[in-house]
Amino acid sequence: MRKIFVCIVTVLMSLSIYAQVGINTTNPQEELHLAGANENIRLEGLSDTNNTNNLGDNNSSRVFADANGDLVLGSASNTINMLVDSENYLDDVEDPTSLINQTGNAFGYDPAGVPTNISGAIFTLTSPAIIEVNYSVSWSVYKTNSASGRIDDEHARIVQTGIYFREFSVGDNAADPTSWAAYTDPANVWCIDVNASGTVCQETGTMIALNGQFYNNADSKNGAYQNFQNTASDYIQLPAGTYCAFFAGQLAVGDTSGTGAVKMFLGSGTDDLQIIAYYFQ
Amino acid sequence: MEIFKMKKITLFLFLCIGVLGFGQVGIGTVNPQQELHVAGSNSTLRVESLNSINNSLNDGVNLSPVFVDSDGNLTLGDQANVGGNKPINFLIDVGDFIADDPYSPIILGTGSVVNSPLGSAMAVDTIATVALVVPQDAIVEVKYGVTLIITGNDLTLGCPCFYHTYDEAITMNTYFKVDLNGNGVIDGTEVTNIYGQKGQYYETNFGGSIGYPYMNGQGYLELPAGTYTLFFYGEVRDNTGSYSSVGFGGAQDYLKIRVYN
Repeated sequence: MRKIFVCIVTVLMSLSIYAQVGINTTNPQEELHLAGANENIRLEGLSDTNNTNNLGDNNSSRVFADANGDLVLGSASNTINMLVDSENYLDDVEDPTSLINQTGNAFGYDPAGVPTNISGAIFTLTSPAIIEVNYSVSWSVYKTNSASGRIDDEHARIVQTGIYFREFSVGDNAADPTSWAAYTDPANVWCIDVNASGTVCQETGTMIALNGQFYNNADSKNGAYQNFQNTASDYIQLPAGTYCAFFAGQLAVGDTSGTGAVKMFLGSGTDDLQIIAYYFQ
Repeated sequence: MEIFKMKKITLFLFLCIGVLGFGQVGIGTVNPQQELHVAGSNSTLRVESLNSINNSLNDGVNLSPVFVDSDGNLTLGDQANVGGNKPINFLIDVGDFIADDPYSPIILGTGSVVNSPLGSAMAVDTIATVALVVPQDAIVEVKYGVTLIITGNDLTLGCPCFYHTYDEAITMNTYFKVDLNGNGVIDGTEVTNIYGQKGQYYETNFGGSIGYPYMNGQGYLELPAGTYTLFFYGEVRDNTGSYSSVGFGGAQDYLKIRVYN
């Protein structure tokens, strides 16, 4: 018995009335408290030798808690999740679903484009996460889709695009994300749908990953008008829920004289979209 | 009381088995290599306060990432708590990091203006500076989006504005440099280390720009712990016979600086 006491005293292991254990401290603040600036815990079950999820020297391996509270290592799917990885996200149509009709100088953003694979585009966050989006969205722009339908006024135009999310709510049609409400972070509110005369904001949402590029052309029969791409990358924090990513765009011009409304279609070429989740929990 | 103590001690007998004189504790080993060393190829540590019953942040289905808080305690990520641990860390997340209208009281949405006047083929100026505290040696990712607006007269003086209609291309570039030594200026090797370059060209004849194109750029920096300043630059190139005024950041910009640690 005395030897045991000596042993315990030697390591300064203290046993308080709360059954707390301290190593190198007589005043443990947690159930197990390792004091000292260089103290550490070694768990051999998590080592490179014993655990294939340990990536070894010069890499960091993240630690997780499982349902029991046991410390374990995660595989790639636990650390980050690729929620959406589409090589052609939006349907390649040029019809009212993908149309942004520039009226006036352009009064604001309009939603455009529908995902080709709706079920593949819908993603569920099992818990809150920071989302990274990388996209390149295609667009085409002209007056009429004909041999001489190109814009030829030589007025500089600006094509702006951004990404926003629609979130499923109870009562929504689960198969039709276009009917879901746009997710809105009160700290970052955009008008994503303004009416044709620019007077009424029809829907607000949080838009991220904005990009804008110029377009200009002077020949009604020549000049490229399709397969341009806007590219951006950004982060957003989203609560747990079921979402679908959509695009909104705006076509702006300084001088509307001589040409009238101009049509821009989003998604008429190939679009790349990747959505990656970094989970909090 | 004595019996009570003895029982507790008995409980911890096994802990003492691996104890040497170095203040180290071994479980399943007589030769602990750390202060607490749990041996065995399937060994781990159970922390019940992190399990799904006791901790609402553990959903019991997915593995929950474990973080270390400022005291060294093991915790789970917590979105609701302002001070909670995040899965990835942002040093700076600014929605609109360049003031839209710095030339008050003129309200135009000009942002920071760089003029390339008559006789000048190129103009460059600082459009924004952002201070940055890096808490530890880290790789830092910088992503930015900066808007542009272009006219043929000095935007800082306000309108009436007229469009740049010379029917010639002008180009805009944005990029950033880092003040590493904290002396408040970009000098020495800082001058040639250019990050996140982005360029676009603009040309018009009859109608000019009214909306805002974006310059999106990103770059990675490997930085020791310390305080730094990012200098964002706007560059304008045009014909010497033209006056070009470019406003950088007159609409909603964004800047996100992520630290990899």
